[in-house]
Amino acid sequence: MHTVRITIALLALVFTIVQQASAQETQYVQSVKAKVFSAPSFKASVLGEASRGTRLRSIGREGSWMKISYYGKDGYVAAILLSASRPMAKHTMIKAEDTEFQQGVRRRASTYTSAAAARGLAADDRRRLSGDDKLDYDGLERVEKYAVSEAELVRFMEGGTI
Amino acid sequence: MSLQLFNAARAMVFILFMMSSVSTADEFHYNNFLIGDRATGMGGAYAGVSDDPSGLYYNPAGIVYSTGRNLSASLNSYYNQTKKYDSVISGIGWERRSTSLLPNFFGIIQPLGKFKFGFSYAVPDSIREDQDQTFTGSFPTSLGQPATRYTINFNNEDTTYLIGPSLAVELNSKIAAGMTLYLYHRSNQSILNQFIALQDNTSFLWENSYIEKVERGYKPILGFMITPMDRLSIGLSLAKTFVYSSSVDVQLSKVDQTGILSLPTMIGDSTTPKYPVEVRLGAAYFPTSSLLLSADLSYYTKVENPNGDRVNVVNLALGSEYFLDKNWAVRGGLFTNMANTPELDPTRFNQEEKVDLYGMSLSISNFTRNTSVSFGGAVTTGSGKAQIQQDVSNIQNVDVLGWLIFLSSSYSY
Amino acid sequence: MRMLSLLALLVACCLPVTAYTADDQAWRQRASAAPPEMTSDDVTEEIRFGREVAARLIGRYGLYNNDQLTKYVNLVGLSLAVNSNRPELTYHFAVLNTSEINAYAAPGGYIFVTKGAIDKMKDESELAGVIAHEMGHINGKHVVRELDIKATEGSAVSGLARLIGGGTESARLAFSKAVDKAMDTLFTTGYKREDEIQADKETVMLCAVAGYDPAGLIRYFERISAAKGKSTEVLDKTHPAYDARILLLKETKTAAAIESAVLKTYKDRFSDAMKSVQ
Repeated sequence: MHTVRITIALLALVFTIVQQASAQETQYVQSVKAKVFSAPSFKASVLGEASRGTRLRSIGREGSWMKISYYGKDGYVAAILLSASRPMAKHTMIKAEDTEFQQGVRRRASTYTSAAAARGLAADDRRRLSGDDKLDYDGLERVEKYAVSEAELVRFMEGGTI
Repeated sequence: MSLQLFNAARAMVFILFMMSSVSTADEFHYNNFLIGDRATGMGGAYAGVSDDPSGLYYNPAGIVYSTGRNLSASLNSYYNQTKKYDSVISGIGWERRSTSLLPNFFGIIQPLGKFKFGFSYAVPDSIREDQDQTFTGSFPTSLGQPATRYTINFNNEDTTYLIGPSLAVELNSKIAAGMTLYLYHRSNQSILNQFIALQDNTSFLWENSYIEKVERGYKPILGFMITPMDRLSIGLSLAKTFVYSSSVDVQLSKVDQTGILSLPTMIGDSTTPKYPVEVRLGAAYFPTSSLLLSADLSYYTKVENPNGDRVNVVNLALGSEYFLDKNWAVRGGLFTNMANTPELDPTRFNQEEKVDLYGMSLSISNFTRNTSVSFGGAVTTGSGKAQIQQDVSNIQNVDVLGWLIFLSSSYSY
Repeated sequence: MRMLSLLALLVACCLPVTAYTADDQAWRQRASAAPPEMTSDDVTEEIRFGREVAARLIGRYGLYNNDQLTKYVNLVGLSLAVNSNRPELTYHFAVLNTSEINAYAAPGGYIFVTKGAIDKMKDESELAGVIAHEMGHINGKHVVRELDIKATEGSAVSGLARLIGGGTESARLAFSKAVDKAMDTLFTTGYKREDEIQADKETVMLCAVAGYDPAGLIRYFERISAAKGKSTEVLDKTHPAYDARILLLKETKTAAAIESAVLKTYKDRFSDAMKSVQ
């Protein structure tokens, strides 16, 4: 039928146009810095370095590399450093969570703990029943509080000694 | 048979301009309502998509690919259509309006092990037709003198309901199959009141007909979904309405200045009507997570019915869905709703009207994590031919314009 | 008939068979349904969850208290973390006091390497490789996705929707059950195969970007596969076979044209750090 033929031709045309259009996507740099190479290899020359939050126009993907348009040239960035959404700000736990940083293992009951309680099993009971799973929040606190200075980290990354 | 009964009852009077047809406009088309939140925005081009509750109606196999655990969707729509028949009485045209406001779809999908179970309710056809016109002047009749006044009141309500469960399963990574078994119920009530006052101011003719039709049956829909390659989905569904019980009751009263010409008595008829086999073939292309393009071809077989034969019908639909971002999407579609009546023959009488309709739909949706709300509309238009006068070979031009607005929502939890 | 030929054409399209994995139909997902951006609340939930998992890990093994080693592991970890694609997380590193050979990641940014594992390492690139693999699990949100850890949508609508839906556990695991399941993943069942593959692949690029030789991880696996025994029990149970992993790492390295020669192993720095450790 005439209409069916026209429709099929139209569809074929649309398919090809769409394939072109669909190749382009926006990517944002997530890492502190991301080197842009001229080819998909660490040995290639560096076209530049994009910092966190930079918006890049992606024109394809080659294995572990994302091909982008960089100041008019084709550039390559390691795909693991990019993401389709903007980088989030560094997350800080809200003040209320500080109760968990108290000495000892007492925690404010969460809705989930309450739910478990409703099912007849309070958090402590579960801990006891699960055998060798003790919770060490003191240790966790020590791990979380451990910090290295920025200067120390930069020196380390540049090859310095500890 | 009801048509014959009716016409036999009124063969006694031969009035040039009285309305002859008792069938409703909806019987003449198979694609009167688009069903479901997403499908409506996409012009009903859904057989290749069908991966949400709307799919329970178009192609149950597709629900296998629905995301989320439970889904439910509902649609509330307001529909309005105007039909204008030109030159019916001494050059004056008739206008018939129909409206409908109803929730016309509800569906849920629940995963059950390897299967997806669904349940839905759909109203694929609903009309509330209304015509109230009075013509004054001088009109020729076969009653020995001209008429000076003609009043017509026509009220017609015809709604089809479908309700039933669905089950779908993935046969392998490329083929899925599904089935919906709907219970079918159609109820139609039509009242036609016509009054003619003749020139001598004492003679008159008053005719009233009341038709009530109830059909009960079931409508199985068998569907398949094939994924021949990445991003391309082909859907095929087959359906047919089987009526196991049908009752048509006609009550006709006729009175004139001499007395009662016809006592109101109910005449019944229970011949079950036949409905066509519906084949729907659809293709959907998903190039990116923002864009979806689809096309459907529907074929309805011809049917021989005492009420009037239906020819085979081919309908086409094109649909698209585009996400502006993850919270907003727009949908658009084009569709046809071709008449299932044969071409009118200028040498015959009492033929059913034939109007091919073309439509366009558009909608916008907003998404949050678990919910989505859509708002949109559709416009249908077309022109064709009718033979609205009884026992007369005049053919009128008909113009139809209908529009629909809808609001729907869906939840995933 | 034209209809039949159209149908035949479509059937013909179905014939070419290519091997499909479980995620074949992922392209059907529309932009709204795609793994949604994590909201700040989701991250809070992830961290709260990860902390309990981390607390359990520390509770089970205890921390290896050596300031020199802890500082060293943190420095290596943080030099990788600057290249993480989850800048919202603050990564924490620690050494677990056990002779078991393994490394663990808890959602929210907690990475642990066992003393037993470090004893088997010979240079910094090997340590970087192990840490990078765990970072791959956190960056890929493997546990979070698998256990559906996210903030609840507090609106009345979704509450009603959950009510209609029966309010059963099918929608969300209770927190405690989720933590149990996470521990199960770490100690018994392991991550999904595709998640392990993804983590290994990303390790190669992450190391290279940070300037470390990804072959370090390969050398480490070769060494511990030769020393299979009680100490590698958990590692063996929860991860794919070493040969498969080594092969994948080598392939990824070659495909990305990474040359060990230009990348660092920091052997000397590693030896210095290990001096304080028995």
